[in-house]
Amino acid sequence: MCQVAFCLRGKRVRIDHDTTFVETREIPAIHSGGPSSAAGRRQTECYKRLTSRGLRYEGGLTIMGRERSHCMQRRDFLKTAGLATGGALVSGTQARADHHLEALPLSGAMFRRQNGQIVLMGRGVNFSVSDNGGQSWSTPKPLVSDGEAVRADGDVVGLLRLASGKVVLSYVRSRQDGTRRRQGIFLRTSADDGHTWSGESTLTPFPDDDLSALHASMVQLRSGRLVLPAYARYSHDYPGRPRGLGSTWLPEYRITVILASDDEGRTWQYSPGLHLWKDLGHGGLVGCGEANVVETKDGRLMMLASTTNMRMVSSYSSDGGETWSYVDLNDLSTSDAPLRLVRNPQTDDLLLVWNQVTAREHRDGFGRGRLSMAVSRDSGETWDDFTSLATSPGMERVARVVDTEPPGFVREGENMSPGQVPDNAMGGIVCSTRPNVSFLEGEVLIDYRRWFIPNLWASESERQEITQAVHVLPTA
Amino acid sequence: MERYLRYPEQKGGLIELADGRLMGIIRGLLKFYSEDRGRTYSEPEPLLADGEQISGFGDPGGVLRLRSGAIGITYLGPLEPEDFPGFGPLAPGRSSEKQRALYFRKSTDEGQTWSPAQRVAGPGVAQSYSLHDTIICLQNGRLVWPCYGGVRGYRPTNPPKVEGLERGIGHLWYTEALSPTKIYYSDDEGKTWSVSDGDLMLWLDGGQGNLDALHEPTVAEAKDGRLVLLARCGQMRVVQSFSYDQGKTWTLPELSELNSANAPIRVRRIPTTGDLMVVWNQVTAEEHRSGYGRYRLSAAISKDSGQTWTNFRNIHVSPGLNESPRVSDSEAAGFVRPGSNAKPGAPMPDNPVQGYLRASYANLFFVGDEVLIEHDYWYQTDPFHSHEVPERWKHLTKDRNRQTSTGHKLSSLPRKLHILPLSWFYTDCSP
Repeated sequence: MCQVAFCLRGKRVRIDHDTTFVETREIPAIHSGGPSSAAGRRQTECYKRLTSRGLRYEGGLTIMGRERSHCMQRRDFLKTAGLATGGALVSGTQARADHHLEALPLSGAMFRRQNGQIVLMGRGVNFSVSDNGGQSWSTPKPLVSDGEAVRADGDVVGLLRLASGKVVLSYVRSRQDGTRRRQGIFLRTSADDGHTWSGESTLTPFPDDDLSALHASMVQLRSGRLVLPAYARYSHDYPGRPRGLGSTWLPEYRITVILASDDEGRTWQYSPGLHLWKDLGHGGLVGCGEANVVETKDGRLMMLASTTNMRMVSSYSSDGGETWSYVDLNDLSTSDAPLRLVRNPQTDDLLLVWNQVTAREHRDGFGRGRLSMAVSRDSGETWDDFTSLATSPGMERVARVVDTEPPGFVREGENMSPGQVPDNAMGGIVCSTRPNVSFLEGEVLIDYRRWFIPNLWASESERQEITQAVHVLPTA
Repeated sequence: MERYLRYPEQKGGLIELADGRLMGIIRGLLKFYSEDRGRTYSEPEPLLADGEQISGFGDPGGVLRLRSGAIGITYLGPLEPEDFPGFGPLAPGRSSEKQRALYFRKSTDEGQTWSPAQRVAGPGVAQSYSLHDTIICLQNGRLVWPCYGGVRGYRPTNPPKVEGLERGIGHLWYTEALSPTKIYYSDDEGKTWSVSDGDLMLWLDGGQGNLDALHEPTVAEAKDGRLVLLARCGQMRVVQSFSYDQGKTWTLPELSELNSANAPIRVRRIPTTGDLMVVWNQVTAEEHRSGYGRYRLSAAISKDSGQTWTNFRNIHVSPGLNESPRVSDSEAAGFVRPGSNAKPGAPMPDNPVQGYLRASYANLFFVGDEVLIEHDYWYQTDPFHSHEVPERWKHLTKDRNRQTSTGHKLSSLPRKLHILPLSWFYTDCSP
């Protein structure tokens, strides 16, 4: 195994050419609704269990190696090499006593204050701060504005410092409208580094709108324009349908609407809907949601989203998001899971993090079992430097997945029977999904949600070891 | 048996008034009357509320008799940003500021005055829409209005050529977005509205073929109590779905046995028998590829609540097409692009009219023992309009200047009315 070593933040770090990450942290995540939610309580319990067993979260420790034993138990796997793909959960005997707990307690978005403090916000809206560059985080608490909690049962879809110095916060909240529930996207700004916030305005133009967006997907262009790739979702949970998992077990359609503002969020315009007209209609319509938009080094906007057809779709805009090129499939294999596309502010290269899997793996229930990364230096036309960030037991560890099956609709887990335990060393699946990427002064922080499930049909309450795994890499 | 009559040149609906006249409401919210069971019609005039014309746009105009005896109308109407305070202001100068919504109004004096407008759906980034005159009143008084709509699809910059052409004819030559169907219903004669569970769309081959749009749905209440929804799609078949709870939930839409162009379908319950009648463009895939997708208009009856169809009849067949009342398609259902075998500049067809006579967007009404079927009716030399229209057909071409004598705009297309005895549809049941 090839290894190199160097110092990062004063810590000696080794790099394994196979696992390739540099520094990992294992962090308890707090899910929707914050620490008082059911998911949050499970997380806390998870953390207590681990610490009571002599395990400890430790930041800055490099985990090396790969799965060594075919009869390895899940706990062992989590303790050692398996989590090398995502975290640094280590035994107490290995932990260094002088290391404090590093925690990224929320899945959301972050910005840096003028004084260097990092502010992280997630569902709730709950927020946490770090005064040491992300090494440790305060206990999350609800965001309050004018004495009232800022409510969001959906994601924080934007938290960024604008060119003017203002900070913008955008989040999703649902409301009951007669017999149906609708999601709206809201916005506040702050002129004092996020200490106080303006009143709430809405990006959702009309009463009938039901729009959402992927967390942390709002961007500001060089022109100052704010862009959010929102989407509308339609589905038909018809009587008597077979019950499977995910969005491929019932008719579902998502269409992406690019919301744009040229006045720092006061007024908005929206684009026509983006979706895939596969094979010029002969392949049917394919939805397109949870998209990412990024400004490329050649000045265009690139939209990228996953689909139900085992490939991503992409489109470009040369006029700031008003019109778009033909949405078409590219050759990047993916399940229908959220991806993350960002621009490296230092190099203007694009960084992509996503669930890179084959159709067969998706049918076997591993659609979110491998998390990969790639870089594009030509505005998204081609991709290089494929890297695997996390690989579930039962999957092959490869950097680049090339699926021999042509793009086509694949139903999640259709090879698995309800309750069937995967035939692998851990007897389950480690899912790694919903990645985000944050750039923090010379470092790039990649976080994603990870959990273990004993079988694909396990309910959300049966998820175990839920964590918000983090990789820290030098930006260069 | 059959009489061809001119009909007000606009899509709309027709009901029988208490005094025996017929009253029609058409797109643009104009009304007209017939005192001779549909043989002649008065000049359309604006529909007024408090002395002001009610503004209505587009197809969703319709009219129906409610269980209480009142009359209801539906339409697409305008609204201003003040009508939806608290929602995001649009950037200045955006054309999308012009928003519209689906409305319902009621009249308790046979259409002389109208209640304030009740907004049923919209506005939204996803626009709500309906085929004309699709609202129905169930036996229990519930109003059911099948609508559809979604986010308007994008037009790509530098689009790829389709079938080797920059632009073809009709639909499916560009990236049309999917417009899911929703069914709105009201149990208080339009004061409050609910919407069906889920968004109906066509899931091809259980998803393996991805999705197709389900457009312009129509609904009828069958004699066994179920609701039957029929709609168009791009797969050469009529789409069907059923509801067994008066419109709240719907079965997975599926392709029916009725072969069809991607053109509107109309289904209604025959009041005297409880059977269902459908009127639609019954064509084969090959005819559709040749550009004949809307040139045969047929009718059929279902005696088993929409499960099977019999008693096929042709209402209109353009010269050059098979005149058999039942035109089955030997091709399996699948995506067909209209006119994909037709090319610009092809010679004028060698048939008696040197062109085609189109009939589509039909509506049907039951008046006593007669069936009134009306549809658009226009002449084309070929799908691409490559040749000058012969003089004798110029009155049946598109004319954007059609208007009433009082200056109100009518459709650019002529319309034609057939008055047929209902018994004609029941005699000699073999197709």
